[in-house]
Amino acid sequence: MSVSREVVERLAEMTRIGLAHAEAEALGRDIEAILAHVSALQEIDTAAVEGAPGAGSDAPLREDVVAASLPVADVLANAPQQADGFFVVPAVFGE
Amino acid sequence: MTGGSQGAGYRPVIGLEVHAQLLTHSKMFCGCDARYSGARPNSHVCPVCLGLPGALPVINRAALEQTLMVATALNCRVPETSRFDRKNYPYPDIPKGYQISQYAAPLGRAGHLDIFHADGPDRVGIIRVHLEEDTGKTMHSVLDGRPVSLVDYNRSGVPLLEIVSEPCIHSPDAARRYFAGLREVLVYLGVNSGDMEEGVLRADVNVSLSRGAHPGAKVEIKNLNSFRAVTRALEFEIDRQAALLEAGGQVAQETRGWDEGQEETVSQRSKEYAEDYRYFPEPDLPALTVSPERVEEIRRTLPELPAARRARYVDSAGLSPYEAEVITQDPALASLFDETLSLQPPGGSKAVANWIMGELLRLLHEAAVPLEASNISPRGLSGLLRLLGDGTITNAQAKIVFARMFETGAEADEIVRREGLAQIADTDELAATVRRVLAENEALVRDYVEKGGKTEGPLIGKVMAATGGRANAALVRELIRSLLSPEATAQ
Amino acid sequence: MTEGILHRSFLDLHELMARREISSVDVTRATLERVQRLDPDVGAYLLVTEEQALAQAVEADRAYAEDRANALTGIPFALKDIISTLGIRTTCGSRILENYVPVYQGQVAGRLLESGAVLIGKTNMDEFAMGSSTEHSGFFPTRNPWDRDRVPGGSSGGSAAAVSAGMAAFALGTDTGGSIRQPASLCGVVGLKPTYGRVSRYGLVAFASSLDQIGPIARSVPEVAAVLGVIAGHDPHDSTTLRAEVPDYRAGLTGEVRGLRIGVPKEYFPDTLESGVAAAVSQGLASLESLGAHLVDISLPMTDAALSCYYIVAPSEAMSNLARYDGVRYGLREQAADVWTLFDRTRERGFGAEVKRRILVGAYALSKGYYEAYYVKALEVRALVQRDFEAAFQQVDVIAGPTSPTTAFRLGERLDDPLSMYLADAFTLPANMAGICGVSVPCGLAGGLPVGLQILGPKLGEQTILRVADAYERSAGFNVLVPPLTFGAPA
Ligand SMILES: [Mg+2]
Ligand SMILES: [Zn+2]
Repeated sequence: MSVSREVVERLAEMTRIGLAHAEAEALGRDIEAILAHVSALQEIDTAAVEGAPGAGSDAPLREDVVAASLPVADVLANAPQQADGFFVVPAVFGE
Repeated sequence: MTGGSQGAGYRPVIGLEVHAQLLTHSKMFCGCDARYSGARPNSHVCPVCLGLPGALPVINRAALEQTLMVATALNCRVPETSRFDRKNYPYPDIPKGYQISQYAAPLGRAGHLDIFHADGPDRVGIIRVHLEEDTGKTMHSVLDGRPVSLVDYNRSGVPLLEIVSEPCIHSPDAARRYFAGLREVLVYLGVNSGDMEEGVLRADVNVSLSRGAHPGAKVEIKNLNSFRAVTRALEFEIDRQAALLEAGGQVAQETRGWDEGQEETVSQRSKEYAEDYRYFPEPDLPALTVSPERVEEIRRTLPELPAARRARYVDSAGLSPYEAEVITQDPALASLFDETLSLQPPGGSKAVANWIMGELLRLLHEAAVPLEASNISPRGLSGLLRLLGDGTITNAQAKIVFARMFETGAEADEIVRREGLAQIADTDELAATVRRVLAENEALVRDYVEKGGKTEGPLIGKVMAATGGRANAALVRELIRSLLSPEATAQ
Repeated sequence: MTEGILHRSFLDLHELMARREISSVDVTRATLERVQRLDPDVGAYLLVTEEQALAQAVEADRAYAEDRANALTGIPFALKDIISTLGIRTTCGSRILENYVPVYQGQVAGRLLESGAVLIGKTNMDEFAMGSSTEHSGFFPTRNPWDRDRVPGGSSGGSAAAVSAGMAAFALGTDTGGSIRQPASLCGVVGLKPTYGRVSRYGLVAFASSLDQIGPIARSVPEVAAVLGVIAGHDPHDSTTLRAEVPDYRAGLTGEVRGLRIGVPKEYFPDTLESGVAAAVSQGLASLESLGAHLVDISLPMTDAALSCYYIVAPSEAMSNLARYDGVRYGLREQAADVWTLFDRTRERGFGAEVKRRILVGAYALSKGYYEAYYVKALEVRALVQRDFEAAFQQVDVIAGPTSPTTAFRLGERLDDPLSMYLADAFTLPANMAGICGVSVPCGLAGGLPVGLQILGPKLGEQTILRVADAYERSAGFNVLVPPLTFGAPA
């Protein structure tokens, strides 16, 4: 289970945690160690576990009734940048 | 079907993923008002749909019920256990960084929709029907000379149904028909407004070109929100792929967007990881249990769907497929047809259909309003048909009465009485008028007598004109014949 | 008033307030003064809400005067800074939320404030509750009041240290893998992790949603029982809360354990267990036996597997839960020309190394190609961990053993070795994987440092484990383990 720098960088890009290259290598080693430890799971026989996950449970339901929303001032109270009631971010380039 | 692709022996393989906003009062997982159209930005937002730290979702019962209706109407299997999953992808208008959706255990699986058309029904397989939440909206703008995106979360958390078809459609036109058929079902069930301009119904289409047993690379075109866009985008894409293949090139598996203005699909550069949504079961919501009994109950109480209605109109009401198609296009129209028919003596279906397809649609079109905004009711239309049937009014008068009814909603006999529109069927009254007309038209009378009734038509016309169209034409004819008979003229 | 009163049970303080012998304002002021004197050396608090606290104390005294007080009215308490408080900064110990002020009230904060308890402040923690030492706070480490060169445990280290040092009568922590019980053990106080779903998570900033649970920390079992009675119960905003009645937890503290079967799992006494810990725990078990309980040797074979399982499940959920901190709606924002760079820079700067480590592990475990081998496998093993406990509770009423394999370790000692840090939770996290309840109660000192005895019970078994812990506490007399406090200017 080797976690290359490329893999770490791909994961970092997927989760947008913007790692510096130097950091990537150290984190790669940490992740490798953690994964090596959890690989013990593969040895465990789970054949006895069956049935759809969550079977038998039943999520509570909410009646379809409109409740008050937050005042717009509260919605935007923590906004780093806002204009005309909108949250503002720099343009979504590419994607 | 476009020429190039068929000529080269390629077969388009098309599948649709349709997203439909459900018609609930509140949002999918919170109590915010789901009708956000026209609202101030970020005014329909709470801790849950804004993804504030610590806020938790609670499932809207109506959204679940509506999804079960659709799944059942589309002949899906509804598993006893279903659940929500998280679809993880970063985007500014996804406030939690994930969308609550369904992945491994959707509410409906393995159904189908029959699309009715002239050559008989076409069956489109449905892979799955699932429930999820809509995203916010990002708009592009410029602020202080810099390009920015403005984010509004009013749409965030609005319940969204996703219906995924099998890739079993083989032409842009069939794709359009399927999309339209699906829209019709959703509108019939009352779970979607069908208002395409409002973006409440959107399709992602995927298309590949296969040749013989060789499948082609799949291209997905995102966010098409009109029937025309679906047809045009598919036509463009099929031509593009065929041209590429014929030139010895390869089609890249990718996501493309539809440029409405340029009428072309454009590549949306995306990294391979972008497709890795890292789905896993939503830990904030226990699984859902839907008993087979509940599904059966929903099936029993479903309204009649357009396809079944059409078949009934053709088979038992004796309408033509075309008439059946026109009347079922709008559930309100079909209800008017059914209810009027139930107030009529047997055998009246053609007359009801004619009035709906003729005068009613004409007036609705002229006024540019939906049926609900007119005053035509089953009782009103039925009353009109009765007056027409028993000879109280003529066909010409009926049109006038119908127009009044459309405007005012008054009963037919009331309109007839108030406006003195009843036809003159009194022999004495009419005989006096006929005599006067005959006296005023000596030349025609002469011709009638000499040429054996050749001028009967024009004479009837003169009488009708003299009575303002209210005369009973058959009675007039009878009176002219008897007044100008050899016995009468001999006297 | 002497500061000594701050180490008395708040149930006594309540009696004194009810008799008007002291006032809440007195106690609150004394507590704030103590915080001012000791906390520069301990670092338990991230925020002290002095002004609000004094206003609440005045209100509490009025409640006593008007005879509408309950056991918590006027009592100074602290909240782990992962529990949302309306209008009061809630950072989760992270730079990314350094300036975040909730605009809605969390469920448990609301219940405590409504009961009239006086909020002294928000306590330090490992960033987003990821850690076992409070060294992973984004701001500063908290020190153990028993030895300032040692950690208080974590992640609720600030809450445990505050209670231990008499800087709050009680505090709330959160327990995802042991984060209440382990710091309680290391600081010599009582900490309870309730059954999953017993206490609402609405307003609790999520780390691992299927494991997180809020619970009380206090200096004695009856105090913990009193707080649990206020915060427990169904909440319609949290779909995972249980509908079970909330019993009178204090009334259940009978001191009676005769005939009770206590399972002692051999896996909780490995060779690597610190000898001082082993000795203190064994002595604790012996005194329970002398009270009439039966000790039964049992086995929980999935103990090791639970740790591996935890380090897949918790990071996976965390990866998703922490995706919302992107600089768009609240929290830190780093400037950038496009939104993707903004996301990257904000999260790179805002999150510490441990958080990033777990986000990456979670993304790895859920990504294409690894999901089945890691995440699905972990869920299956989790089911086996649950069965392990179910089988054990067929045999015994409660399970007992050490809370932590060691006493408080030195600051920095395990910082460079994430795996050794993770091992600190080996005996606590199986309860989170199984959703059962557990309490840590002081059982003496080893090398001058507190040791905790952990008592685990089945789902909704809080009454039983509290009864055992209370019976033990009464007989052992460790209910007020006062740290030597060789620091801070004398009062
Ligand atoms: Mg979707
Ligand atoms: Zn909302």
